[in-house]
Amino acid sequence: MDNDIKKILEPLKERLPDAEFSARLRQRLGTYMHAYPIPTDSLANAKSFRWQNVFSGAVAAMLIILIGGGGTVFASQRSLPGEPLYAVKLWSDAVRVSLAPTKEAAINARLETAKRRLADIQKALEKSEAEQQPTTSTQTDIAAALSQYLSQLQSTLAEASAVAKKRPTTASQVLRETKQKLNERSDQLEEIRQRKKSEEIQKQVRAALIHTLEFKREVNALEYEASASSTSQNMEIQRSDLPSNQGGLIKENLLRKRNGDAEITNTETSKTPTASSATIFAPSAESENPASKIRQEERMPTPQPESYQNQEAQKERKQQRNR
Amino acid sequence: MSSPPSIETRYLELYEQEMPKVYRFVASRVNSKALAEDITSESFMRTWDYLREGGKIENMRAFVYRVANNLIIDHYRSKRRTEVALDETHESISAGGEHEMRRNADVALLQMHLNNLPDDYATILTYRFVEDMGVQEIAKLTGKSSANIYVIIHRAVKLLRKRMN
Repeated sequence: MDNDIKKILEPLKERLPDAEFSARLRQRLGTYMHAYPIPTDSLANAKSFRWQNVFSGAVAAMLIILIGGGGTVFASQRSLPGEPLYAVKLWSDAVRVSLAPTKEAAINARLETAKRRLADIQKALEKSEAEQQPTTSTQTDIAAALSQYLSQLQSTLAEASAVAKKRPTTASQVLRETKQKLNERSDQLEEIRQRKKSEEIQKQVRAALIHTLEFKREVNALEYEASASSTSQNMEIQRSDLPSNQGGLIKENLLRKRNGDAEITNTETSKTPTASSATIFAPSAESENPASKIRQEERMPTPQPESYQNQEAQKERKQQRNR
Repeated sequence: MSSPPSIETRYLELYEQEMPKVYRFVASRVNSKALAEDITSESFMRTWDYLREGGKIENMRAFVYRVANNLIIDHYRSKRRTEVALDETHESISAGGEHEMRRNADVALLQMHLNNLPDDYATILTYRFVEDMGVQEIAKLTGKSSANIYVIIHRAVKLLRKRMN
């Protein structure tokens, strides 16, 4: 009895992945697993160590400044991975970020720190290329710099998400800038990838690049959500301009969109069939005010059937003449 | 005595073994090659994330399939569309001849009918007739009883046949 269904579904069996995709995904999975390993004790410690870094960093930096070691912090600002004061530089940057008064300022400070870390790595690799062989301490510091780079991006994302939720109308600027800076960081990482370095650092840089691209994807999604959210606010303001049924439909579609459900259209209640929900909720709404678009489309004349009839009549006349 | 393989090695082995099957399962349900690749890739990444967050998985293979299936369902729920999108077909329609075009259109139509079935029906039919899994195996994968699987297969076949006619 089931044989015919088996035969019907047979063509679906032929779909197999191509070799290029298999290899690409395997490599991506390997890199991902390497970048995000299963937490072991050492990793759990590393997580708490990060916080420890921030707090002990803050305390240490304050102490250094209070005791009169401000000069040390100042001197550390020029240090590069592998140099004795580099750890102080990482600490002082972490402190600077933690002192940002607002989330927007923190995002800026974090992105600036991320840029500085990659610049440090670039300079350290330039230097080690000249000296033939990077030292072990250089490698350790590069790993620490990359770790701080990634943790700054991770926190940026969390803060950007909070800003997008709380202030969707003003978030788009912040998110756009963040995206632009992430683009610059991926270029910077690509440049670092071209440099001569150890296999281990090469892997870490590759993983950092993948994460940067993933963060960018997340920021894109946030930007889209924020744009949809601010659009909904504009819609609320303009709702009185619309026929009551259409306004209700738009609101319901927005709610459905937020919940990830399919949009509904109601051509019967819509006064202008051309202004479909697909037009209203097009992703390009970012640059246009959809409410004004609806009004514009309402004003647009609907295609007149007359012109079509005229064409038909002309055709018929032509045929008659031919006959 | 050699030490047991690490979790990473075992996971990559699972990937080598199961990825083509998971891909086929996904590709039989979605009509875009790029989407099938995305869902397959996401399934393995998410399974790894689950392990990383301390989740315990008894049957890794079943878990990956379940993640893939949920992603497919999410995709269709979010899109609420199963119509044939010509720009999304698995292979390039224009690349082949007339025969190839007709075959692609048939497959797209078949997928549409399959995806218009209730989620459980579509999944279990795919496991049974595309992946050639036994009823016991499907029961294990889905966490349902064998009797339930028999009933679902029977109803799903009946419904699919009715809709295709």
